[in-house]
Amino acid sequence: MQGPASRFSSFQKQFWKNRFLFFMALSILAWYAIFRYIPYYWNLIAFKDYQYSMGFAKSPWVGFENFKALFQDPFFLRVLRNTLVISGLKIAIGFPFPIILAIFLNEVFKSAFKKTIQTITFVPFFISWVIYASILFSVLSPSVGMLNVLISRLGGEPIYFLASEKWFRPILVISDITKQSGYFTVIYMAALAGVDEEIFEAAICDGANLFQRIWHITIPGIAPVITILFILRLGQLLTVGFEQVYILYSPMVYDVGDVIETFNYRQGILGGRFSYTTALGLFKSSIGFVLVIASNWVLKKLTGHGLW
Amino acid sequence: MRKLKFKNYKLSEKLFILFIHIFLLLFGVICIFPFFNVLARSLSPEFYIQQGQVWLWPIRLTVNAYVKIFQAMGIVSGFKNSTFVAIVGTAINLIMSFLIAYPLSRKRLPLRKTFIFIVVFTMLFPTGIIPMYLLVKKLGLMNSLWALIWPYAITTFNMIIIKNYFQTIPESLEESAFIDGAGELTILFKIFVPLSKPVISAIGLFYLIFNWNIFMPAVFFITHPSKYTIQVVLRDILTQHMLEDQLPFDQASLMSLAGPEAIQAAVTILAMIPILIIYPFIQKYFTRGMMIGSVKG
Repeated sequence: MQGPASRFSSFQKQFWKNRFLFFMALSILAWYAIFRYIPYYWNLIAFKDYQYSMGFAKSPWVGFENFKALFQDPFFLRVLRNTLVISGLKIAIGFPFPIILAIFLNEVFKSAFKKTIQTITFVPFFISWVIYASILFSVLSPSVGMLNVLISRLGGEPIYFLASEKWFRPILVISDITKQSGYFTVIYMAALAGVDEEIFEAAICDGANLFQRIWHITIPGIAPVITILFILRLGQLLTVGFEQVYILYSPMVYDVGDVIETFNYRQGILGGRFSYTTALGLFKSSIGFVLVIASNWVLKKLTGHGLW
Repeated sequence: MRKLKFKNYKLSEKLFILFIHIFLLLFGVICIFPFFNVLARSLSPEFYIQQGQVWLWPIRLTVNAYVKIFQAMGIVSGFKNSTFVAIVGTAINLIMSFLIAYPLSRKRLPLRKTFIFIVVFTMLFPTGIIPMYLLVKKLGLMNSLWALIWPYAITTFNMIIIKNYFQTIPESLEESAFIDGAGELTILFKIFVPLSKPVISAIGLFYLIFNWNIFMPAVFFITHPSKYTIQVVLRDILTQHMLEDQLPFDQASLMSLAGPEAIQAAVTILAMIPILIIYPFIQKYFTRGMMIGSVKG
């Protein structure tokens, strides 16, 4: 048995031996302190009436006034509704889509075809939303967009997709799928590559048909990855993606397309309402935090897989 | 390889396989078609684009739009700024990530658990953009390209992947290096970094792409046109453009060789080229790097 004194001195010894390692870590933690923890601290202006000219310390405390104002603001409620609807649609349609793509690709015999499709669908993920939006314009523009040229040739009326309240949300969801699903497909395919081929062969010998193999081998093979990505995705429920909406929307579609992030930008950066928008940001971050913790807990109970 | 041949499939399975191929082919075409359309536009005279005649192949091949771009100062400086952020930013990203991933990967680090908690918490609870904006303002980084580099110097998720890989390197290796008189920095850069090449290549490419594409901070922190990155320059081209869509046709721009449509397409292609150049490397390193990195240590 060691006494407390000798245990303390052994910690000192351990510390002295690894002091360079410790200071190496500490020097980078200084970056975390400045660029992550100071902004955390400044979240407190959500509880103040912050004036930039007065600074943080001199601005008066107002308690939950900013949050009250937030939930009484019809514009915020519109923005919250849009965020939930668009994000919900993206999860409902966009989340399963790459899973289906991966299951399908896994059944393709010709590896050249498989590789080509994977390459084509993987590229757009790495391209910025601005570039991708520019490409979308060349398809959707009412005067010269390819889709509208096609519609006019077929005798229809051109549709101004991005200014149409009916079309704006579907465009957000579909372009999200065509841009992002290739990336997640690659992740699922990598998980599938880890499934032992012998299991498939044994199933074939036992007479399992294609659909049984998908249901009993392929899907369980990627289930842990699905769980992890789903938890992470759920944490992003209030994140629609600033870049996508900002570059595609216009005042004509604010009613259906304005989301928390774009609202935050207009009110905070362009409008200078720092306390109000910090309250909004704090609300958004807290919901995300709770969702990740809760969904991780629930899914771990249900499936045994989780983030930690 | 799977032993079952296509001819041994039952009819219902064959039909399903056929459906799969048609579905994948269609989706692939939908994904790739717009890219070729933009490429064809960038190489065609404005007149034919406005007429809706340019599909997948340029009509009357011309590089006029590209020539015009290089005469426009805003676009050239946009490329310069983006290149600076991409190269300097990625170097800082990697060095800072190494410097924290290495200590966190070593069990002998004092207060290791506390440090890991401090770092991981920032992943779970995102920093608000408004406090970040105020910080950037306070630090005097507004309208500086450094505002796109320092606040994003470490992506914790990427750093954790490097750390997890470092964790698989046995302690005996550094112990023998210590006996030879090597310091921590020497061990990190002479032993750990070279041993982790696949993971570091994957993460390095991710940082590079993130930096080239960085957009939201550029919109928030940079308002001076001389500091615009190419992404923001393209935004300006697009937003001016959207307004034009609602205006009646302008005959002069219609007849000139390189009008707004062709120039927009050309800038789009040029901004994409760096991504396309490194894309083969992404494919090479991504899967491998990700698989190794995600192994929990």
